[in-house]
Amino acid sequence: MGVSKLMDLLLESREVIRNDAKIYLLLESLLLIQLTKSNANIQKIVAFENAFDRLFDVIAQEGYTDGGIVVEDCLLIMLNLLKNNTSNINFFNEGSYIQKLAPMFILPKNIEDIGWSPQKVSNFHCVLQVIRTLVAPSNPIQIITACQKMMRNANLLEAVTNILMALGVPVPADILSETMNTVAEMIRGNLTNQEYFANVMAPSDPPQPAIVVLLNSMNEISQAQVVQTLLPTSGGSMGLTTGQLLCSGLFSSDSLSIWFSAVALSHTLIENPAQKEQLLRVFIATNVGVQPVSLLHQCATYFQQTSKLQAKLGILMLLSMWLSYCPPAVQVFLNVPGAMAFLTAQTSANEYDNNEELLQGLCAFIMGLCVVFNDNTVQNYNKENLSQLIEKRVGVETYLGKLGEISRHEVYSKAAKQPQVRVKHETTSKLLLEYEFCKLFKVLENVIINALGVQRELSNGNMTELSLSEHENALLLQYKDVIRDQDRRLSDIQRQLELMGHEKQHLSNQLEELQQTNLQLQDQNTLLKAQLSTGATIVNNLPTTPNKNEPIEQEYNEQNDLADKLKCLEMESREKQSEIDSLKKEQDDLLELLLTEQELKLNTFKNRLIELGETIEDDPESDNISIGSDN
Amino acid sequence: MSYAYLFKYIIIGDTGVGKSCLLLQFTDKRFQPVHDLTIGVEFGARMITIEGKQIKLQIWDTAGQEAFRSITRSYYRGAAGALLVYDITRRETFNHLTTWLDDARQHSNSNMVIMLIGNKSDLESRREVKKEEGEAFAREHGLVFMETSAKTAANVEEAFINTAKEIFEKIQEGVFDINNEANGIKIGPQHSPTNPSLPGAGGQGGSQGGGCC
Repeated sequence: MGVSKLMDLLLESREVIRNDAKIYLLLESLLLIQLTKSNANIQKIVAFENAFDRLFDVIAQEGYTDGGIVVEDCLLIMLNLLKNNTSNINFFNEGSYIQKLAPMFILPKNIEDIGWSPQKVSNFHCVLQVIRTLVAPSNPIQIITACQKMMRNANLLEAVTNILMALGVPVPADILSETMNTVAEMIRGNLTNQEYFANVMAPSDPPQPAIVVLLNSMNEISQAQVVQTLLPTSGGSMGLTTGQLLCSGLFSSDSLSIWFSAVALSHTLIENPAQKEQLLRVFIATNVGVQPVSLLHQCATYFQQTSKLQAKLGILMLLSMWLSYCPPAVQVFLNVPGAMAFLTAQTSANEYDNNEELLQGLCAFIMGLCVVFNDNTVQNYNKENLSQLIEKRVGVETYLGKLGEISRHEVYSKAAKQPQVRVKHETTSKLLLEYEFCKLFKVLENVIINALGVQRELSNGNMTELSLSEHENALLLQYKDVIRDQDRRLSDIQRQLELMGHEKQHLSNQLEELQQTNLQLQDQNTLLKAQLSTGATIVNNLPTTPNKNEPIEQEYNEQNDLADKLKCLEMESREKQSEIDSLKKEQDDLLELLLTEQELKLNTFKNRLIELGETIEDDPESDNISIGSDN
Repeated sequence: MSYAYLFKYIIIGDTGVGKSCLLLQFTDKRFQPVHDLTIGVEFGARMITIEGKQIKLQIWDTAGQEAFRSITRSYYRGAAGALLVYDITRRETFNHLTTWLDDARQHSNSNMVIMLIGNKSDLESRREVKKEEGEAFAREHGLVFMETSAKTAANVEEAFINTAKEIFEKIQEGVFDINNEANGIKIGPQHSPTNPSLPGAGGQGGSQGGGCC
């Protein structure tokens, strides 16, 4: 929380600037510089509190790189916030702050008149450091790529390249060399950026590709201590190639030039066997009228002649790179007169001056390379001869000691730490070893030691056998055969035993498995039996229901039903019939009764009529008429 | 590359609930089953579009461990949105939500939009916290709620984008003072307050002006 408060203060102190009381801001920025130096969490919080916005605001207000110490302080805070802090670098890139760096590289029109103040130089250095921190090779690759892309898109690469190519504008030498380093890291491992850079033409007359100009000035960087300006004054002819430049640098009189050229050339050979063989075809003419010699030959001669340590080391590193994994190069090297003798002398030397142990170590290393990558084509210096040379002339102990000098040296540990070359101008003479060489050495040191060891054992073995008498030798051979035979049988038996053991194990496993299955099956069997018995009782208790007969039974039942119904109906009809019968009978009876009654009544009436004196014919048929007519 | 607004987010919640994985899924569209313990805070960013406007999200993924609490507290104040994450397969991470919320409310600006996230929704078989419980907690405390899976990417986009929508609405309503960067909102470079056609124009009166729209 305290950091947040502090950021508030910085925000408020912007008001103070307007009152020309910059001292507050200064004090506070000093505090922040200290705070942000090492603690990643504080760095992140400060960045979260919009620090980059504030810092860029202040820088803009102060006139960018033309501003005073406040600008430098702001840039130092920025540098602290970004150094080794991936999260903040990511934030810086994502927050579009890279775009805000471009205005820093606009040089005022009248720079020639006003010149570079010490403050401006410091500010400029800081900006370059900020850029280098963003794309430092130690950062995660995806961060570097993202930043490089942004730098190209935001025209920052263009702006920085313009500083390099600013013809006629005086740029201090140290700024220029730092700008080169910065450009190098902006395009390192990035094809698109490299393509952009390859197409940059220097505004010289005639126009030259920037790379050529850069190499040109590279050679002159070394001379910069003497010569004030670094600008390419003698660009040379139109057809100047980088290779030519490197070669001329390689054999110039300046040790730093030689060192840089050798390192640059060795970089073109890294893990590139084809290139190594290609380079063998390069011949150079050292003097007019002298037969041209191969570049490798010249290198091998040169390091014997020169007295400059830096130059020697440069050439030896180039040779190490060249000879490693390249037997043809080794062959050429071994044929150079005096080369091996020189190496042997150096390696076996008992005393050395300042830093000469490095030189001796390198000589030992190259001798070792000649052993390892020897294809035995040079009679005098085949693998065996060379290892004998090391053993007899130098002594294995001395040799290993010399070889070990390299990795023990502080120059080695310094160079192995990072790929960038970080030196101040005044200390360029301290450039001795280089990163890629250290990598190569680390890989091959043990290879050489092993190769020598194998070689020695081989020759030692030969020696003892040769020193024996013929009889002893025969006996020895016999014993050897016996031992070999026994050994073979022993191993055979052991193998068999092992095999049998395996088999036994396998079998017992199988047996166990089978037993288990057996047991399981038995269990299952009992279970099934039990189930069976219970099942049987259940079945017995079940009522017999042959369900297959069901449809028939149903039909039968239906039929039965129908018969029943029929019977019923028959009965009904019989009943009805009898009812009808009885009703008929009743009716008949009733009719008879009525008839009788009627007859009775008739008779009565007849009788009365008779009584009343009527004559009645006994004609039953005309009874009624007669009665009627009688009435 | 240019944006209308920039929102600062923080992601908070117990350790191991999947904060870093949510961020990785959102920014890189990938899932890393074994993620290193976050130390302090890590940064990620992505561009999204809301109502046709480009919005840049800057996200600070905080460490869940108690030891880093004092560091993560420094990030509440400047954030416009917070994703408060718990793990649906670990009830204790749900139980700690109140502590987190108290912490957030205490140290953040009052308008900070908080989205409650129940992560690891793909592990249904190991679920310990019901979805309804999350919903209830969110309702009770006025949060937006969502269940996500950083592994299958389910709802991850939505979680970040819905939070941004909420913030965007608050800006439109004039709740946020967008000219105060301490709120975790920044106006894009081409949308500077000098442009009168945009909300928040007119410097200090921005919030009022937004209010009447």
